[in-house]
Amino acid sequence: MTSRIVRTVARVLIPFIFLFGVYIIIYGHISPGGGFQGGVILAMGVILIFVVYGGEKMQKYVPHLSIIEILGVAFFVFIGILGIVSGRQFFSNLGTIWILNIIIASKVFAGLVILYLLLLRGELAK
Amino acid sequence: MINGLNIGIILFLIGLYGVITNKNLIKVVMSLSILGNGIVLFFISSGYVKGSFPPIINPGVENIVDPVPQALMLTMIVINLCVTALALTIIVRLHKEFGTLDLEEMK
Amino acid sequence: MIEHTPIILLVTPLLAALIVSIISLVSKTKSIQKIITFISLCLPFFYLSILFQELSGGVIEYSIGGWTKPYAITLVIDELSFALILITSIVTFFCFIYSTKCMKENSGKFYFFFLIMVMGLYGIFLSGDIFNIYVFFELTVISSYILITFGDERASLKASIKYLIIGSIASLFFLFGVGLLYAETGLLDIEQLSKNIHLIDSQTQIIIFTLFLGAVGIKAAIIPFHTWLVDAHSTAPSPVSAVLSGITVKTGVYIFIRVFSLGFTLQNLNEIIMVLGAITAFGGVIGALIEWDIKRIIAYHTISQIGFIVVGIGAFSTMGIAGGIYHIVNHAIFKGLLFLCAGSIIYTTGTRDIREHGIGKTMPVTLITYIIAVLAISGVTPFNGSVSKSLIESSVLNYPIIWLILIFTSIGTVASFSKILYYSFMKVPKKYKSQQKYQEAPFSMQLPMIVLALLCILLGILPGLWLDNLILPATSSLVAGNSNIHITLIKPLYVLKEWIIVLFGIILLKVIITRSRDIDKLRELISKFKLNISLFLMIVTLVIVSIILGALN
Repeated sequence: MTSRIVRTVARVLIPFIFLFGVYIIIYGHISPGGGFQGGVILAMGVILIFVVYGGEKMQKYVPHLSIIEILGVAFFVFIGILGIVSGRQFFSNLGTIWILNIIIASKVFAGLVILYLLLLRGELAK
Repeated sequence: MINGLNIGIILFLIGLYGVITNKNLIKVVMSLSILGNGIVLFFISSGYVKGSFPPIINPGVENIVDPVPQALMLTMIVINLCVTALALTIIVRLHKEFGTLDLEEMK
Repeated sequence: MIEHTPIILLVTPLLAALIVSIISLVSKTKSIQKIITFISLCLPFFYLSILFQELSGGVIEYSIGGWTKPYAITLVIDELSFALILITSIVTFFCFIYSTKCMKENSGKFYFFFLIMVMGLYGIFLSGDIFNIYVFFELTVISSYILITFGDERASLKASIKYLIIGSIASLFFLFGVGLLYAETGLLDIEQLSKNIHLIDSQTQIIIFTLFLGAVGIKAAIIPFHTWLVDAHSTAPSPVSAVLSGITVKTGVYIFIRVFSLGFTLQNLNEIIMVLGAITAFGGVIGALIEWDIKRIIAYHTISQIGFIVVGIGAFSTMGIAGGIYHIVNHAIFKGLLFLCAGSIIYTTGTRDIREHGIGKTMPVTLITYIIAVLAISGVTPFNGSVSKSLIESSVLNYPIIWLILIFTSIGTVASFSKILYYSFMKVPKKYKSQQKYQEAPFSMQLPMIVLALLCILLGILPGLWLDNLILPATSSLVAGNSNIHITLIKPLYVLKEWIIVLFGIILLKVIITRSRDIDKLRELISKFKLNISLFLMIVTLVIVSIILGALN
């Protein structure tokens, strides 16, 4: 996938894809969208880069993305426990839904990118 | 006659037919995906109220569509994504071990 | 803090899984991972003792987020879920101790998925919302697809993909049933649904019930829907097989109890369920009698014991449901014990075919615990299987054909396990006579087997320990009947029946040993069932059940 047309169009489109993804994440609680949807759009932007320009150089970042994923879940549960500590039930509404959206978006982004990189690793090893 | 509920049921039946009669494993996974999407369509259109607005609270909006199925279907789409990803990974491993994509010819 | 115990019970395995995975990414030491998993599987016992005190004051409810009843996601603990959570924590704790020796390589990933599966199991039994059951069930079942592939490579991948396809269809049927329920009533809470189901017209009730029957039948492996179970449970590693056969299959039955007691107002529902259960019990034993692979035999017996449980629940009387629930608890214990024994035999000898084992008396602990498990599953008197099997058999006395099928199933059970006893333990094959160097399994594999065997004996001698405190109150909240069942230890008529069953079982074993050619032909015939044909049979069965229900209503 390295013809000149594809590379030029991808280079033009990718900043807009990132901007759109961030917009959907941040406006998730009052308009259609949210954490999961915005995270998928961001991941699609990054995977477009991998498809057009090749993904061998990014293979060494897989453990870092795994740590982002695990810390994401831990932070999510921590916000839930914050609800218990402040006297109300687990996951009660303390005005923190936008934080949850951002955490989920980062987690979905990391997950999908790891998936693509690992499947690519199997292809490159042949 | 053509509303979301009927098309959802038709997609469900098409997906079920696809799972039963396909030999190639990737086509089976695609049929499972069609099954899931049929159910999503059925659920969401079961909450439709005629002539009402999207479920976002703006000033001056009275009757809104039922938001509960939409939230449930988000969860379901995520879960189906995970299952599809897992199935494709296992199929890649199977192809590497056995060399074929047909479940009957793998010995 | 005490009132937050249900959610802490649910979150503990998740946090432990995260810590284990971070440690396995950062460093290579295995002992910290084992210590963290050990602590996180011990903590639920403390939480359960706190919950037991609170349970005497009524059903415990906990709503996430503090919302009110129709809109909230609630966690509900009543006596039925308490009994099942208790047995889950016992079985998973001992299977973890067993797996520290058995799974040496890539243990970080194994513990991570094991803890996620434990969290999913707790979530199914705790949730009071019918969509929440779907979410936690998917969590459990995805981690079990992954855990199955940790066994031997080629066969376990095939078994896992077959299980994945059939399990996904089950989940999607369940979701479609929930969708129809929501479209008709607008409620998702199990308690409120049970009051409102009789308002739906009976045609839609038939469709909803058929969809739920398909979903539950696939998950709980009732006979037309059982084709995934034997491959999946036999190619998985042994501690995973024990947890899968003991608990995950029972979640299907648990969902069935919850859905069945939703109050469908259809006629003749009991008979259909009892007939399906009897066919399952009989078919499972026939499948077990013709196999020679030790884990496949035990997996077929899972199918037949699930048939017993479904017959007991389908009878829908106090004795039937109490027997069914108690058999769930007992079956988890002795099926876990059987899989752990089989695992230690395979660990020592390296083969799964029972004609090549020939252990003799070199593994005494395995032999004694195996004999205790066999006596428990056959229903001999001082062990726990006899209490639950007698309850189930006394509840179907109105239907003599089903009673006879259950008796024949017990005879087949005895025959099949005696076959394993004879070939694996007693008979030494001629070419191995000079290589008798088998030693006993390591101590961390013996300890769970000894404790589970002692539990078998304890629950047989004192059945009141579980029955009076947990199961009978659960039954009386499901069925309106008299709940004073008096269980004494030895009833002469039942003891006579059990020993007649054992005698006939040994005679049947003699018949099988002399006729092994026909048995091989039968096994070839059964293994020709491909995936497409078995899926087609499932759909045909569901259509036939819905036509029968439609004709009777």
